[in-house]
Amino acid sequence: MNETPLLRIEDLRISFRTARGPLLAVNQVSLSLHDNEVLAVVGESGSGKTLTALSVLGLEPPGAAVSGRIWLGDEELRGASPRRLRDIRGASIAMIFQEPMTSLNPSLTVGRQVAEVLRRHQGLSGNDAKSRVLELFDLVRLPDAERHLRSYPHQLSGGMRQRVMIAMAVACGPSVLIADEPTTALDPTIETQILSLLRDLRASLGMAVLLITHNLGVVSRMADRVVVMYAGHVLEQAPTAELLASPAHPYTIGLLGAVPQPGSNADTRRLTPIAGQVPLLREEPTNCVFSPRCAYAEPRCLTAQPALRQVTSGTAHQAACVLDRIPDPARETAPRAQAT
Amino acid sequence: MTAGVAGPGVPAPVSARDAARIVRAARVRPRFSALAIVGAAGSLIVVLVAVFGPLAAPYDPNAPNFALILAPPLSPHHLLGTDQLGRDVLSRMLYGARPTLAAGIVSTLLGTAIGLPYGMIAGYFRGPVDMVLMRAADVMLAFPFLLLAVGLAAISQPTLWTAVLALGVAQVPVIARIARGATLEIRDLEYVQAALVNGERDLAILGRQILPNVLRPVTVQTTVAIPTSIVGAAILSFLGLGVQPPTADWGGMLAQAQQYLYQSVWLGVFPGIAIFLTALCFNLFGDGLTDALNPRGRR
Repeated sequence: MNETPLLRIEDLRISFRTARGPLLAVNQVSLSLHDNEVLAVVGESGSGKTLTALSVLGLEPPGAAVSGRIWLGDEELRGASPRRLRDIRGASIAMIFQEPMTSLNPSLTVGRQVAEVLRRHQGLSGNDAKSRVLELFDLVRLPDAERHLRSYPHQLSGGMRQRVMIAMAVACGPSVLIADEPTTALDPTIETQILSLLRDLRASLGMAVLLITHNLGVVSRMADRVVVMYAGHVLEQAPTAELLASPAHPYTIGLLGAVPQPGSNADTRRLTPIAGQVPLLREEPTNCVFSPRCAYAEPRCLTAQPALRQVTSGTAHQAACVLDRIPDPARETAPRAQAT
Repeated sequence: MTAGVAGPGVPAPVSARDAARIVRAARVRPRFSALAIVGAAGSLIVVLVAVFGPLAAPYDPNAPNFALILAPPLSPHHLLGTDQLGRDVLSRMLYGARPTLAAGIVSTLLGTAIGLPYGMIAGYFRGPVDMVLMRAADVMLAFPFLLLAVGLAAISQPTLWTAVLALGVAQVPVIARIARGATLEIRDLEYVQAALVNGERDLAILGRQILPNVLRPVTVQTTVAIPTSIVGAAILSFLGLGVQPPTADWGGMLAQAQQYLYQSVWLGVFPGIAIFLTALCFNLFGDGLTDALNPRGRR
């Protein structure tokens, strides 16, 4: 991965001033997304995943103080004019959301909503827009495309609505697609279909995908690389296979331990939840953000948030943990299972 | 007669297109409840009376006949009797529908034309814009519309149009509040976020994404406001702040009838019933429209 990344976030920091004092939502986040890559950003609710994605588009909520730099290719997005950002949104960078129920306007036909994006960015209207919408509906494998031009969102199923959302997102051939928990609200069979659609579109349209999720099953099926976020910090990043096989950060180990694994020991292996919950940071952390919940925390973990460092030299695997060797998670879970 | 030839008396074969249209119409009809249809029919009748009533009036509504004052209803030649000046009550009722209805509808349209964009802007931009606009609306809301009507009548002559203006302005803050509330709710929904993500401008989002969804609650308010304004217009006429005599309107007729209630109660009964039924029909129609406009109600 030596070429210039398509999308690069450097030292992103997002804070809010609230009635109960400051709130540090995202801190020291750096990541890059390469051509044709699917990068998964994984973390619990409140870990800053969505906020990071929205700040790429310049759509952080009002009142957010954002610092850091974000590049799309050679262009810096944080300094771009509102007008330029509007031109980028939907054309170069598109986004789909978790809830296909509410992401479409209930008062407009879905055909019109997709056509609106084409009108906005490509100046298409009338029959040109209509035939392009039909093409897009075929591309996202929406059955009965002709009829659904005039359908309202409530007449479509959740999976079909998500296909419409994807059609809107890819309408202008974006180079980056941000998918914010695209399948969380769907049932598993539909989830599989949508994921395979996204995979195919990524290949056929040559997009890079920034996949935001908390579902490690989705990660293993989709992602080339994974970034693990916690309390606004990146704790670990690695190629997917490597992260799943040999997680280096205690938090990642904990996440993997909390996922049911279908297979041989499905009945005997207990799921191990991570005790406690994600802290709300008010200011720059003076300890490792995960230390309050970490089973391996040592005194030196309480002095500063560790920076990302190479786990094994020569690989792209990095973790923000001072510990050199974490006890094997498989052996670690065994005694707990016996204790009960 | 050979098959397929349509002659006189033979129904033309129904084409597939017509059949589809008939089926669709049949499916659409149950969207309105029976009460809503009664309301719509009643409202339509009132509107027709307002438009064509004067053509059907048997007498000049302002021509006095001092030989026959306060004639009771069902008198020969005067179906609804005559008033204190011997004017035909039926004719006055037919002529009076027009200013009464106009006051109700035009003032509501005026209030909506100002209040809807006002509230949407406040709700969409939030923050200081919202603060300033809505506090101004609160001031308007606190200002009694009767006083406004009195003030307007004092500045110029009281006419139908000063009454309409007062009633319309009085509705601005009410409509603005509803539009703002709906906009606040909608602007945080994901489809507005999705429009932002697709690079839409504020104005396009307000017009294309938010307006269609705000129209629904505002239409509800409008259909409630029309009968209220009709009653309001009647009140203003009753107080002498609206339509001036001798022009007939239901509120003014009610006001004059007051003095003759002991001799001829019907003078008050007819305009009173007319106002009541008009308000009721518009309300029923409004409720039905609310249900029908809900896209989820479409089958």
